[in-house]
Amino acid sequence: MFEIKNITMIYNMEKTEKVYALGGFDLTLPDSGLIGIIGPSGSGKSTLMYCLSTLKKPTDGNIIYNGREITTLRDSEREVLRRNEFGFVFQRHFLVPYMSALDNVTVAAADNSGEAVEKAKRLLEGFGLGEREYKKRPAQLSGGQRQRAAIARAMINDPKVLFADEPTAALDHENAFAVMDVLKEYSKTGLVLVITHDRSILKHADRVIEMWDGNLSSERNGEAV
Amino acid sequence: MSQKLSTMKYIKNNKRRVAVPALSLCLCFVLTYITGFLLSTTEETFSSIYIDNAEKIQFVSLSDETLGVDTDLRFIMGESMDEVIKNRNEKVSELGRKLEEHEGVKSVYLAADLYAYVSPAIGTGSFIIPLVEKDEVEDVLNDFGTVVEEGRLPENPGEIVIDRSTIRNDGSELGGYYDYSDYKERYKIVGIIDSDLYFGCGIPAEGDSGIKSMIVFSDIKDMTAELKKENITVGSEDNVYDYVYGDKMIRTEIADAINNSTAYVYGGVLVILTILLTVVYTMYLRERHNEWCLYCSIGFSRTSIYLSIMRELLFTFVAALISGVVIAGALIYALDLVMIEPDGLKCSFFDIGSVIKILSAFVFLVGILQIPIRYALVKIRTVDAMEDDLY
Repeated sequence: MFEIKNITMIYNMEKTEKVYALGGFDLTLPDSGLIGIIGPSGSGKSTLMYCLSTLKKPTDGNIIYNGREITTLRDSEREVLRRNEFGFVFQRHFLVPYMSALDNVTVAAADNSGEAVEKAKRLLEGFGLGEREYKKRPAQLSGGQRQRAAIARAMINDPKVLFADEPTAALDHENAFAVMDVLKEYSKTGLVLVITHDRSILKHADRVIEMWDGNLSSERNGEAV
Repeated sequence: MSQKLSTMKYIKNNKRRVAVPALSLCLCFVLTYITGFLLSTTEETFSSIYIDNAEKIQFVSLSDETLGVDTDLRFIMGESMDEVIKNRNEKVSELGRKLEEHEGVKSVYLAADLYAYVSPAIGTGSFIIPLVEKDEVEDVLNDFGTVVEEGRLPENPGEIVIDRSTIRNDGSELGGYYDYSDYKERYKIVGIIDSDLYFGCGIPAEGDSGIKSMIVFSDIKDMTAELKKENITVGSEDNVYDYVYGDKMIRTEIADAINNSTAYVYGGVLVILTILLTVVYTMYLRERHNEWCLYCSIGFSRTSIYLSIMRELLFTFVAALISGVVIAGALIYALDLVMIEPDGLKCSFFDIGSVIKILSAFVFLVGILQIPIRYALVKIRTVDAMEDDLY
């Protein structure tokens, strides 16, 4: 699905002391599967995710998605790609404060029909948020419930690629594993990229990519982690 | 994923927040319309007196000099006052007969004049009730296109019939006296005529000077030009109340004064409204910054975000307009019931001038609010840029 060649991302380009967030590496990612990306803070995990998801343009290198170079796409084309093919779970949940949990999920839906609402309810229930919870606003939910609502929002349109930046950071272990089970299930049909500090949640990952100082330091399967 | 962001989600979840600006706008629209409506009672009333009446009936009162009557010389010659008036009236009568031959002239009557007054919200307007011979009263009413609908025709000196609106405005009643201070207990109202226009007719009271002027029933708009055909040049001592006079009166004396005062009220309201709305709206846009950053990150374009903002804004304005129409309608109905109709004033429920002002304010405010909207759109960033700021 993704073919990454010599991807380089340099911050502070105009300054003499440049910061290499991504140091120029190659990587290939399959059409489906649960891929974990781990590494310490500042290792370039999030930058890699943002480049793959077209939120950032790399300084150099190529990213081929389904045979199409995406680093040279126009803004509008990148928006269409993000809207139609990608799903996002960000570090901060970014739920809309005035909307109920259910509305927060359907706001990203392809349409606002009853079908989308039913699907959103199913997703939320799958994440342990019942009818009482999905009528609540984010401020009335616990940190874990908010994160689960954000994951449900990312999955509402059945994206081909689901980018998840620390999806379990706000969850206890029980909920974290429950979420990872859902992501694992989703990875049977689509590609799920999970960025995390927590190695334990990646035990069922198909591949784990470890990053260090903007480069790939190792790659193994989940059980090895 | 749909390119269209739902507008109703924000409105559904923020009813109070949408209601407050909508209600503020609504009240401003209502204030503008009601101000225009109240002032329109003045313009409509004056227009009825000076324009609508003048399209049917013209009043011509010429001075001795214009008529060619040398009053001083006749006094020297030893004529009595009655003879002078008689001779003067003969000149008027002769001119009347000539005018009756003119195209467009239906009839001409010699009449004494009784000034009637109507006071709307601003100022006082006046019209002339012709006082004619007893056997001419019915003809005058017929020529004006009206009949007595309550009471009877005048039969004795000092009796008049008058329209209901003038009676209401004066506060007098059928069987009572036309109570304007100048005529206390002089002219008795014996009948009410069926007329949408301010009009009346009667018989001169005892002790009337006997000086006659002319009332002309015609569709001639410029009576001064018509008199010219009879070699009569209207001067500053003469009074010709025709359409040309009425139109000039309305345009220069009334409409301009009203328009100037409403322009200040309207301008002041608009300036205050613009400042308040811009401040409140900017705060509102700031509150929603993160929401739009999220939409932009998950693939909605700035254009679709802008369109959703505009839909919400237009919804607020349209809600304000609809509520404004309902509230203004109810207020106008109430005002008509308790003030306009009992005071015998004329009004226009649909004031196109106010509607244009409100719609202009609508467009102006939407235009002004494009500045904070544009600024908010420029500030939208994707989540990655927001995360960068944290480090």
